[in-house]
Amino acid sequence: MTKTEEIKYIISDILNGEREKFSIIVNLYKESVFRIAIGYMHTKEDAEDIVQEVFIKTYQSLSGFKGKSEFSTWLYRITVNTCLNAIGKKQRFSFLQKAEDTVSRFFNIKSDDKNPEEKLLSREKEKAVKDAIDSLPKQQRTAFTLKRYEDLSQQEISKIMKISDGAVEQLLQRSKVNLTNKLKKIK
Amino acid sequence: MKTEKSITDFIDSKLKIEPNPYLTTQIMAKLESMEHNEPYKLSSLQKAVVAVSITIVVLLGISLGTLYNKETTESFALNINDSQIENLQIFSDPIVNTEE
Repeated sequence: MTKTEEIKYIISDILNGEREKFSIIVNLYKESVFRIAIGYMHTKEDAEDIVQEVFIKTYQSLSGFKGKSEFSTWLYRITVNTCLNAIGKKQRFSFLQKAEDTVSRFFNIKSDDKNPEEKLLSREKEKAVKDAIDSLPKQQRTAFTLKRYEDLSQQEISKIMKISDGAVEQLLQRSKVNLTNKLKKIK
Repeated sequence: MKTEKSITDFIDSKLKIEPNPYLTTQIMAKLESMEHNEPYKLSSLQKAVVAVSITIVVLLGISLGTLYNKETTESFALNINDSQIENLQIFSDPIVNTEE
């Protein structure tokens, strides 16, 4: 039995009342969903919140899965949409986040005993990369995250994003150029 | 090349983070609690009863309000004139006093 068939049987069992079988799906995909979520959110806590939200949404709309595409494609699409929504919400409170970052950075720097200068540089570099990824347009960011964090093929990415393979390639190229331009100033 | 290395290092550091091992349990528990706490759904008859009740209450309020606005007391004028209440002239004017 292939994985796709196995998933179909599990889904039909869940829809027939065997709710506990949903844990099989969670166990199969939680790490993949977590990797994509951390690509967007950058922190463990936020990524775990996304994983929970994704699986709850998936469970609630399981009857809507017709099996026309792979289950993973459908699940990853839910993940991407949930992440983009969460980012939108987060941006509305970005001033609070900035204040929190400044405070946490201040305390972290003070508590470092070894090579504070090196630690500061590495933290600054990390922040620059994070900001550069965050500043990518939505589609470039999605293609970049799915490729680099989940190592999906261009074909799989194109199915998730509902665009052509060529468009995915273009998005990946553009994201690379954009990131390089934004990170040029880093030592 | 340096920028590519920075990006790769950043991604590698994020991929080292592992999710909470109890994540599956948490999700299943959340799903279970959601099913138990599903909001109570009203039937169409109950909805109609609620709508009719609200309409009756609103109409009752309007009619009570209209009743209250009707004037139930006669209007009158009150003349307050201290000089009439206690006419000191009675005590001071000798003509008035000798009238009896």
